[in-house]
Amino acid sequence: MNALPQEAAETPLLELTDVTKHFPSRDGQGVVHAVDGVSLTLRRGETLGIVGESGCGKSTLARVILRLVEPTSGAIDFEGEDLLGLGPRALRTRRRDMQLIFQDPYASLDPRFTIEAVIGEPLAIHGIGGREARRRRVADLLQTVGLNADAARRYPHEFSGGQRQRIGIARAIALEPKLVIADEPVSALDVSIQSQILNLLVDLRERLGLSYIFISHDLAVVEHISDRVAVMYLGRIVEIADTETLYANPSHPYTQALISAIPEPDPERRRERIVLRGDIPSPEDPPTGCRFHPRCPKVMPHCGDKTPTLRNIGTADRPHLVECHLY
Amino acid sequence: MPDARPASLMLRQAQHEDYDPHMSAEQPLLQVEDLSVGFATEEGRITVVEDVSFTVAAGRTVGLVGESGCGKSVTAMSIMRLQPSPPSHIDGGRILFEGTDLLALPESAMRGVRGDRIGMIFQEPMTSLNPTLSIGFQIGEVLRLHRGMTGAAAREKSIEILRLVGVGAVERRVDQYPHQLSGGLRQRVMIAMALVCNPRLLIADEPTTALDVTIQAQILELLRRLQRELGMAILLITHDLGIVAEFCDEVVVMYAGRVVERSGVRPLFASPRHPYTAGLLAAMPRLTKRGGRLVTIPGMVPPPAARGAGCSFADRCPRVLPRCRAERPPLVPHAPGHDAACWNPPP
Repeated sequence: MNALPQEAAETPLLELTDVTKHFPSRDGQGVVHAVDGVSLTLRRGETLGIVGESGCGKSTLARVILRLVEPTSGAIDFEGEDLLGLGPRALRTRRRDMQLIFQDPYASLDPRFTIEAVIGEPLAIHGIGGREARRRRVADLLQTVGLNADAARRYPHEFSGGQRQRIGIARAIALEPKLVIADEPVSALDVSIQSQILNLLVDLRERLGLSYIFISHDLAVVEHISDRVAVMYLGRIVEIADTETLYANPSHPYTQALISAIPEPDPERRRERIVLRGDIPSPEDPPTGCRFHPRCPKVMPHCGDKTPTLRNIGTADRPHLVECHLY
Repeated sequence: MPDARPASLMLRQAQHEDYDPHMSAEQPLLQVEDLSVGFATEEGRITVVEDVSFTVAAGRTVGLVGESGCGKSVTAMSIMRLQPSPPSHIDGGRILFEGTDLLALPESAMRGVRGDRIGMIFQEPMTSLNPTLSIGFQIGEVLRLHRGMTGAAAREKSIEILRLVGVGAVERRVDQYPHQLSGGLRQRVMIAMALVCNPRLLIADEPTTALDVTIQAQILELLRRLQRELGMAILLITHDLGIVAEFCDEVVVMYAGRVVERSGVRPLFASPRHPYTAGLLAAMPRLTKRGGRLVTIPGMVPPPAARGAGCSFADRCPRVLPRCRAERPPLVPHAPGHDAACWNPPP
C-alpha cells in the first residue's frame, strides 16, 4: 500500500510486511521457524480469520503483532505508524488500541482479584478516570457483555467458562481498542455457550466499530465470523481470500484437506474425505521447498526443491492468494 | 499401509464368537439399565448420572453425546468400573455385558474383562500411557495379563498390532517411549493397546478431541477401518455432533445426568425430538450456512445440587410448559426407535 498520510481512510488499520519470528530451539542448536515471512493487511472494521493446526505459528503471530514478542525481522504498521520503531512509552500508549482475548478464560484471570479489579486494571494502568468513574465504567462494561452488575464484587472462580470469557472480553474492550486479537476465544467452551460468545463478539464489532483478528483451529467458527480468512501452515500463509471464495473454492491442497476433514453434523452428507498422510512436521526442521509437500496429495517432483510464493489467482479487487506450485 | 488383516486376528475373532455361552441373537452386547451414579461432596451427596439406559448391539457404533458435566464420561467409566469410589458410588442399575452384570463381578473378574473383552481409549493418550516404559513393553503387558503371552511371541504380536493401526517404521517404534511420539501416534498406540486382545466392545472417550483436525480425520478413518475388519462395537463418547453424524449408527443424548433423547443417527439429525438436541444442532456454526446470528441456548446447565423435580432443561427451554417444572418427563418413544424425554417435543 502506498497511501499518503492524509488519505487516512485508505490506510489499513494494520499492515504486516514479511514478518518473521525465529526462536532458538530447546537444545540451543537449531532454530524454530515459528513465523516465516508473513505479509497481510487488515482494514478498519474488518474481521480476518487465521486458521491452522498446532505449530503453524498463528498464536506466535498474534503476540508478534502486539509486540509481546519481538519479531526477528519484517515490518508492522498500525494506522500507518511503524510499530517496531516505537519506544517503550509510545508503545504502551499504542497498546491501548490493541487488545488480546485468550483461549483459556480459566488461566487468564487472576484468581485473587475481584472482577471489578480485573476489568478495571487496564483503566487504572492507563490512569483513566478516578476510582468512582472506573467503578461506573466497569458496571457499564459488565452490562455490555451480558453480566449482572453484582458480578463486580465476585471472584473469577465463581463464574463458569462462558461467563469468564465474557469477563475477558469486558477487560479487552475497556480501553475502547481499535483492534482486538482473539486467540481461540471459544475453543474451551461447549457448543451452547460458544454460540453465545460468538454472537457477543459480532454485536461488539458493530457497536464499537472493532476490527478483529480471529485465530482458531475451527474452520466452521472462522467461516462464521470472518470477512477474510488466512490459512497458515508451518509459519507461512499458504492461502488467503475473502471468506466466501476460500470456502467455495479452496485452492491450496492443504486448505482443501482441512475443509474436507471437518466432520459435518449431517448424516445425509457423509462423504469421502481427503485424509492427509503423516504428522505435521516440526517447525524446528521444516521441509525444504513447499513445506506441505511431504503430506500433499498433489505433490509434484519439484515441490521439494523450490519454495512457492503467494500468487493471486483471483482478481485485482478480489484477491485470492495461494502459495502453491499448481498455480 | 496395506489393508491386509492379520490371519491371527481373524482366528481370534472366530473363537470369540464361539465361546460365548451367554450371547443370544436378540441380546445386545451391552445393556445399561437405569444406571445411577452419585458423588459424596462437602455439600453432601449429589447425583451426576440418573437412570441412564441404552444398549449397544454387536458391531454397531453408538454415540454418547452431551456437553461438559452431562455425565457421559462418568457413565463410560462406570461401565469399565474405573470410576474412583469413593468419592463416587453406583447407586443403582445394571450393566449387562454379554449377559453378565459387570457391577456384580468381583474386581478380579472385572480385571479379566478390561482390556480383553472391552477395550478403552481416552482423550489424552499421554496420561494413560506409562512414560517410563517402551510402547512395545506396554502392549506386551496386556498380552501377558490376558493371553499369558511373553517374550518373542508378545513382541511379535505387538509389532503386528502396531502395524495394523498404521504405525510406520514399527521395528524402531516398538522400542520407543511415549514422549518420543506425536499426539496422533500416541493415540494410535493407545488404540493398539485397546485392540490387541480383539475386544467385542471399544469404549472411546473423546478419542480425537486433543488432536488437530487433519490428525483427527486419520484416527476416525482408522477406527472405521478397524471396526469393519475386527467386527467390534464402539461406544463413542463425544461432545462433537459432527463426529456423531459422520461416525455413529445410533445416538444417546445426555443432559444434566440424564438421557434426554435416544435414536438412530438419521432421525436424530433430521427431526430432533428434544428441544436441547434441537438447540445444540441450531447453535453449531456450519460450513454450509454462513454469517448472521447463531441460535443460542440461554443460560447454562444447572449444577447437580440445583436440579429439581421437573425437567432439568426447563429453565433454558423455548418450549417450556408449566408441567415441565413440576413433573419430570419420562424417556418414551415419540416415533418407532426414537425416544425422547419431553412433554412438548418439537414437531
